[in-house]
Amino acid sequence: MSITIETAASPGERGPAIVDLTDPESFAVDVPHAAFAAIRERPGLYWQPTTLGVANGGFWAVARFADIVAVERDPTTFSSSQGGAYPMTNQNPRSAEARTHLMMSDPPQHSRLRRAAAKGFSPRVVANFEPWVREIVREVLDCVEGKQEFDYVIEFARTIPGLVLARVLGIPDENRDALVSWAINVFDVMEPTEGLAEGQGMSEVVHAENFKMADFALRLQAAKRARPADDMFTQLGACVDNGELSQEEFLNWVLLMMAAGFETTHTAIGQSMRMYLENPEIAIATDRAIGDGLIDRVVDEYLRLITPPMQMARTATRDVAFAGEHVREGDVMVMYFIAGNRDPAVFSEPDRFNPWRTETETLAFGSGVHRCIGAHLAKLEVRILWEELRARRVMLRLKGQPRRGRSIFINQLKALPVRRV
Amino acid sequence: MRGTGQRGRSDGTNRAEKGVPEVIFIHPDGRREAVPAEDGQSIMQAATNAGVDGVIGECGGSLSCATCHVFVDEAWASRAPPRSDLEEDMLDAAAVEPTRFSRLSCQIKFAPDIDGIVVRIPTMQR
Repeated sequence: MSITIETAASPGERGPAIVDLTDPESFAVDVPHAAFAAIRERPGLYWQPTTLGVANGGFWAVARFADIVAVERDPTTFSSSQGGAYPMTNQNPRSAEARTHLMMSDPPQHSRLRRAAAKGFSPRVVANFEPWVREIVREVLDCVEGKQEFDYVIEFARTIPGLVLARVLGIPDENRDALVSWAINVFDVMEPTEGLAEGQGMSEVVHAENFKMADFALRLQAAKRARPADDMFTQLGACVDNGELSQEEFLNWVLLMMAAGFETTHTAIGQSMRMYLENPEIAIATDRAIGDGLIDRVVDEYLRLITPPMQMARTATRDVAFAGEHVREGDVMVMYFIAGNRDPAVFSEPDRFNPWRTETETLAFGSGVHRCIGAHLAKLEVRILWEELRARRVMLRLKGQPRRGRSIFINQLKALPVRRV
Repeated sequence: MRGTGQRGRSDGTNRAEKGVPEVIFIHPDGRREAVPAEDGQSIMQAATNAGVDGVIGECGGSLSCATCHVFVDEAWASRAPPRSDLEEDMLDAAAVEPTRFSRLSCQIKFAPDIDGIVVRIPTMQR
């Protein structure tokens, strides 16, 4: 055991390394929950040395629920302008993107961008989507009716979010498959980090991949201007035409919706079924709780334990004492929601799937000004899927090994081979 | 909070410290809760500082989340400064359908002339 000496020593002299959070191998077999537990228990914050996407030789891993909320509550001190997720960090805060992208902006800029879409994803509007979301789920179930064996990720996790998102955004049927492939790719290209210059992150690579959809987005914007419909491309396009959004803000918004609206729900759907199939205690609790009328709590519990976007990031705009550490201007704070969601200071038996638990606020969607705008829609999709699987008495078993992704950002599931019983 | 509940009012409201400016929140179950408020502070801030259940204020008052929705009691409605266009717009995003008494409480600044203002908390904020 090392002795921690209180000096103004550089970070990293506080104890042995627990895990390398920048290494995809650390996430290859599973999320490193034991490492996060150790990080939470240690006083202060965990310093992760690295040159990937940071200017100061490393980043602070924030793993406690209360600390994460405190960071997100103070966008002035902990800004998104240099990047909103790791390792798409260490960006120029005065870049065009920092001024025009929802996830890279701070209030008041952020507030204006957020308002442009807030109503379209609000609880009452999303509640009205229920009939057609249910129709989509039923059609997906019809498609697998004749299949004895299939990949749950391909048949359910990709299709449902893709179809729902296409409808919400107003993307034509013939472009849906391309949308899904692109959305998956945007996250896959974040992975390989070899050969980068010191301090360089993945933002350029992601930006390039993102913009492969730009032409399509601009053509769709024009099409909706000519023939408006009840969808987000029309709504946000109208904001451009009346001056509420710049063209660049519009483009960043729709690209964000297409990527973020797909990937995280795709992850939630796949990982929920993996947990259900791998763990009898979870399956029993799921079935019983749904029977008890607690399906919303079931959905919340899956989301808490999965936490599809495992982290998001902020950058300190000044030197500040925080959680017992001397945080320097320019230090990146990586907020591990997936760790905060198992914080024993907040959740009793935090690793246990328990839809009857009384702690209902989680970090599955983050907190503060950037709290996920798609939360209601994501929960609706997952809830309706569970309802329809149950209504149709779909009984599945694992057939073969589930295949995880290795992302250090998203809790990816790449394949879930199943068979009907 | 010293004094809370020790000198209740006849209507059951707890009493904040005597003379302290206050906002009164009525919960969906009818329970009344008085919390201290300072001039210039928003009603949402008064609520979140005191940990009032049912007022979230996720965006911290930047008018981008609609989770600080309250219904101002009819008797007080005309005394609160009017809604801005932006507030009007964002109220549509509230989880519970707004009425003409609806406000986003982050937009109401506490002042002496609304000392004792009564607001009702909706059944949900998201």
